[in-house]
Amino acid sequence: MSGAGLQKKAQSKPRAGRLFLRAVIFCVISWVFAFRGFLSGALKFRHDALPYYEHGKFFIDYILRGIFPLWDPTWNCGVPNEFFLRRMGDFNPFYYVVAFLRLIGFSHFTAYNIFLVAYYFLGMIGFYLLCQRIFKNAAMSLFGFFLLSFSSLATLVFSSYVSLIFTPGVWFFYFLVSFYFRSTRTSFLGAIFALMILFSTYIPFYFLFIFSVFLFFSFCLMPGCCVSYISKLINFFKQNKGLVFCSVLILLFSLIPAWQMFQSSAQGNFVLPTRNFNSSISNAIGVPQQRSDFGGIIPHYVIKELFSSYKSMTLARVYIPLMAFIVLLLGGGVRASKRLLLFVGMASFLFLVGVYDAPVYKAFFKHIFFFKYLRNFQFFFWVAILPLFILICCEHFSSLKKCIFNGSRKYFMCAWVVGVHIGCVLLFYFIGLSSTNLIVLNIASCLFFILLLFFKLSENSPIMIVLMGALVIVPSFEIYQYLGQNALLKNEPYRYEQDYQRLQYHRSDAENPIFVSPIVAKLAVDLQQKQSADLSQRFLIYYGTRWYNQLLQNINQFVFKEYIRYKFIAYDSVEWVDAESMPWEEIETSFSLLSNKAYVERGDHLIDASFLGNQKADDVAQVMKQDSKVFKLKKISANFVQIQTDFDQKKFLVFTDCYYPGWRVFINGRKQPVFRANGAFKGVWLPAGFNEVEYKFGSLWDYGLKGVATLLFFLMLFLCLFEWRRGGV
Amino acid sequence: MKKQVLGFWKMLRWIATRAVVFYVLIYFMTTSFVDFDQIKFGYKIRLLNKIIPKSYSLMIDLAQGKPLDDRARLKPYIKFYEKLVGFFPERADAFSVLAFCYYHNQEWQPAVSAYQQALDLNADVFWFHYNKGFILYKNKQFQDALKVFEGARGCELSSTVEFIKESKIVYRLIGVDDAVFFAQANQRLIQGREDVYFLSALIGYSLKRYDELLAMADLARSQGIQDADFWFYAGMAAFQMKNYDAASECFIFCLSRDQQNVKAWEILEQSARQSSSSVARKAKNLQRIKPKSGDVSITNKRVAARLADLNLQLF
Repeated sequence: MSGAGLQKKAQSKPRAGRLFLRAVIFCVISWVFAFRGFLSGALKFRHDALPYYEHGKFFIDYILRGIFPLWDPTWNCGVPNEFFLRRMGDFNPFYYVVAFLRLIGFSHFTAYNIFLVAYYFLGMIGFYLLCQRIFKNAAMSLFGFFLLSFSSLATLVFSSYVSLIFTPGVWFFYFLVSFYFRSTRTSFLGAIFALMILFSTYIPFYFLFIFSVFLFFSFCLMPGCCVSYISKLINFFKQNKGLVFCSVLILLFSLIPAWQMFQSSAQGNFVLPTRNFNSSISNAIGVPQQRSDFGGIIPHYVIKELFSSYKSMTLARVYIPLMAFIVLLLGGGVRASKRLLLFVGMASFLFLVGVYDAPVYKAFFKHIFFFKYLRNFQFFFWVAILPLFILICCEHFSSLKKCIFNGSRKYFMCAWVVGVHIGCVLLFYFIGLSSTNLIVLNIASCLFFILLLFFKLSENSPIMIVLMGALVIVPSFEIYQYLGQNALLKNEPYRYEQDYQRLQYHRSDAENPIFVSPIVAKLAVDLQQKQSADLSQRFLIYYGTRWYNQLLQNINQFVFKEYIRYKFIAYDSVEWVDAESMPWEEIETSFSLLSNKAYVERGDHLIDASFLGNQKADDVAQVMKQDSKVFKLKKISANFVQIQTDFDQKKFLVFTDCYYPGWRVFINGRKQPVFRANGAFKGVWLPAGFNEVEYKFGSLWDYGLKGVATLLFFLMLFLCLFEWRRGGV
Repeated sequence: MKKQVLGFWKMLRWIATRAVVFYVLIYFMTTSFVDFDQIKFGYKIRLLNKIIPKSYSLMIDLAQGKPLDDRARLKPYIKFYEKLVGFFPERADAFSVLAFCYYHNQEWQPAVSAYQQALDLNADVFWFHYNKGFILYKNKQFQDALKVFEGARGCELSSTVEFIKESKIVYRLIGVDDAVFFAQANQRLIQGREDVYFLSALIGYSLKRYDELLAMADLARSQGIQDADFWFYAGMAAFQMKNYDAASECFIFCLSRDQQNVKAWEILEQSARQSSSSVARKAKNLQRIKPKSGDVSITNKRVAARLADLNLQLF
C-alpha cells in the first residue's frame, strides 16, 4: 500500500470510531425512549426479569452492608442463597456498578436499570465489533447493531435474564474471532474472562452447547481456518506460557462455585420441585424431558408472532425490524459463501434442537448429560438464532452492497429493488398485515436503495448511516408503543423493596407456596390420553429446603401458614423422632393447638440428660411476639441472628427459619448442636438464665471462596482492560 | 454441443450456489425431521396458555348463579373458549362453557349455536338440552324450546354425571374440584329435570299441545317427577281433553305436593265428579288436607317467582 493510502486508512479509523460513537449514543437515547415505561418504573418487569431484579437487590443490599449473603431468610422460611447467586452470576464485576451507583446516591431501581441498559448495550457493542471483524465494514456492522438492538431481544431485558448470557457470550465470540486475525494477549484474556462469567453461573450449558455447535460447523465448513487457528493457539501458548497457565488456573477456579452448587443439588438438601417434577434424575436441578407445550421453539408460533399484527405486542414476543426481511429478500440471489453456510447451518441446527418434538432433542436428552439439566430452549432463539439471523441479513447486505456500489447493471438492480419491495407489500397484504406504516416503510426502504444505486454515496457516509438507522429504529417505536400499552402497570412494590431487613418477630406475609395447576398440562395430558400424576392436587414450591418441602407436602397449608407467622417459639418438652417415620399428623395437631411439645429429629445425637425436657409443662408453647424480659431479638441479617434469653427454666427454642447444614449456634460463645425441629426448622436447647445466642451460617471456606473469586474476577477484568489499552485487540 | 453443455453446467452451478436455493434445501431437510402434528399441538397449547384467564372467580360466581355486574369481564373468557373450541372442536364441554359465556354476554344466537354444537358432539348431557331449551324459551321461541326439552326429558342423568366427572380440564377449573359443589351436581340435575317438566308443561299448555302433555305425564310418572306445577298443567291439559280420570290423577299428584293451589282444588272437584269411582274416592280422601281458605294469586305469584329464578346451569 502506498503512503497516501496508509495515511487515508489511518484517518478513516478515528472517523469510523466517531461515527460509531454517535450512532451508539443515538441508539441508546432512542432505545431508552422506546422503553421509558419500564425504565421509569411505571410498567412491571415480568417473568424471570423480576426475580433477577429482586435477588440482585437482596445481594447488593447486603454487599453494601459488608455482608456476603449466603442465606435468604425471606424465601420459604429461609433458603441457601447460593442458588440465586449462581443464577445471576454474583462474581460478575459489572454487578458492582449497581453498588457504586447506589453509593453515590441513586436508588436501587435506577441503578439497576442503568446497569441493565449498559449491560445490554455492552452486548450490542460486542455484536457490532464481532460484525466488524467478520464483515470488515463499519456500515454493515452498524446495520447489524441497529437491527439487533431494536429486535425484541431488547424486550427480554425486562422479562428474562437472557442478556446476562448474551453479553459475555457475544464478547467471547468477538475475542475468539479476533484471536484468529491477531493473536493478542487481550483477545486471549478477554475470551477467558467471558468464559469465567459464563461458567460461574449454574447454567453455562446454553453457551457450551452453542459453542460446540459453532466448533462442529466450523470444522466441517472451514477445516483450513480451524487448523490455522489451532496452530496460532499453540504458538500463542508457547510464547505466553505463564499467562496461559495462570489464566487457565483462574478459569478452573471460577468453576468451583458452580461445581459446588451442582454437588449440593445432588445431595438433595434443597429442592426445586416445579423444575424437577417427573425428572428421571434425582439431582434437584435436573429436568424432565421437555414438551413443546411448555417451552422450546415452536415454528408455527414464531411465524405467527413475526407475521401478525403487532398491536398485541408483549414482552418476549418475536419481533425483528422489517428492514431485516427486506434485505434478506433483496439478497436472496447472492452467492452462498462458506460464511453464510456457517451462519445458516448453525441457526438451522439450533432451531431444530430447540424444537422439543423433533427427534434431535430427544436423542440429545437421552445421550448428552447436560441436556438433563437444561430447559427453556426458546433461549436458543434469543441468544443464538436471532443474532445469527441478523448476521445472515448482514451477509446478504454485504454481498448486495458489492453489486450496488460497483455500479454495473444499475437498471437491473433498480428493477430488482422495486420488484422486491412491491412483493413485500403484496405479501403483507395477503397475510393481512398491510398498514399505512408498512407501505410507507417499504417506499422509504425502496428509495433508500435507489439512492444508493444512483447517487455516489460513500459506504460509510453519515447520510447512509442515518438513513439506515432511521429505517430500522423509527418503525420499532410504533411496535414498542404497543408494548407499552399492553404491558402491566407496576402497582405494587417488588419483593425486597419494602423494609425486609428490620428486626421483627413475625413474618410480614405468610409464605406463599404456589399451587401448581397448569391447565395446559392437564389439557395436554387429557387430550393425548397420557397417564400422568395429577398435578393439580399438589402444592409445589419453586425452591426451598428439602425439609420445608416435606413439611409442606404433609400438613395442612393453613395450619402451616399460621404456625410460621412468628419466628421464635419456646417449648418445654420435646419428642424425639426419626427422619424416616415423622409423625406428620401429630405435628399438624401440635401446630394447630400450639402444643408445648416440639418434635425433634434424633439424628446422630445421643439423648443425654441435657436433652430432656421439663417435668412441669404448660399446655401451650410460648410464642415470642415482642421484646420481653425473657427474650430479646438483638440483630438479624442474612447469615446471622443474635438473641438474648432469660428464661427461668430450660427451654427448647424453635426458630421457624429452615434447618440446613451449615448453620451453627453459639450460646454464650460456646457451640451447641442445632436440631431439626418440627419437621423443617432450627431447634436448640437453651439453659435457664441469661444467654447470648448467636446463629451463624457459612464457613470460613465459603466466605474465603467468595472473596477470592470476586477478587479474581476483578483482577481479570483489569488485566483485560490494561492489555487492551496497551496493545489493542 | 460441448459448449452448450458447458454453458448449461455453468448455469446450473450458478443457480445451485445461490443463497435462496440453499435456504430451500435447508427448509426441506429440517422439516423432514419434525413431527408437525405434535408441534401443532404444542403451538395450540402455548397459545391457549397465553390467553388463559388469570382467575376463574367470575365463572365460578356465574356457575353458582350470582349476577354479572360488568359484561366486559366476560371478554377474556369468551376469547379463551373460542380459541379452545377452535383448536379442539371435539370437546363438548368447551362448547358448553362458551355457550354459557355467550348467554351471560346476551349473545343469544351464538349461545344457541354453541349448545347445538355441544349436543352434536354429545347428546346424552342433560344440561346441553336444558340450557339450549331455556335460551329458546327466554327468546319466546316456544315451539323450538319444547322440542329441545323433549331431548332433555329423555336423558339419563347418570351419563351427565359421568360427563361432568370426566371433564377435568374444563369444568374442574370452574369448581368441580370442590367436593361440596360436586356433591350438589346430582341435586342440581334432579332439580333441573323437574324444571324441564315444568317449563315443558307451561309451554305445552300455552300452545294447547294437550296430547303431548298427556304423553309427557306418562313419562313423568315413570321418572318419578315430583313437580307440583307440572302436574297442575298436565291436569289442566287432561281436563281440556275431557280425560277426567287422568286429570284427577294429575291434580291429586299436584295437590299432594302443593295444597295452596286453589285452582287445582277447584278443577279436581269438577273432574272427580266425572271420574270413575276409584279415582273419585282418591280425590275425596285428599279433601282432608285442603286448606280452609285460599287465594289463587298466591300460586300465581309463586310460579312467576319460580320462572324469574330459573337460570342457565353450567353443570
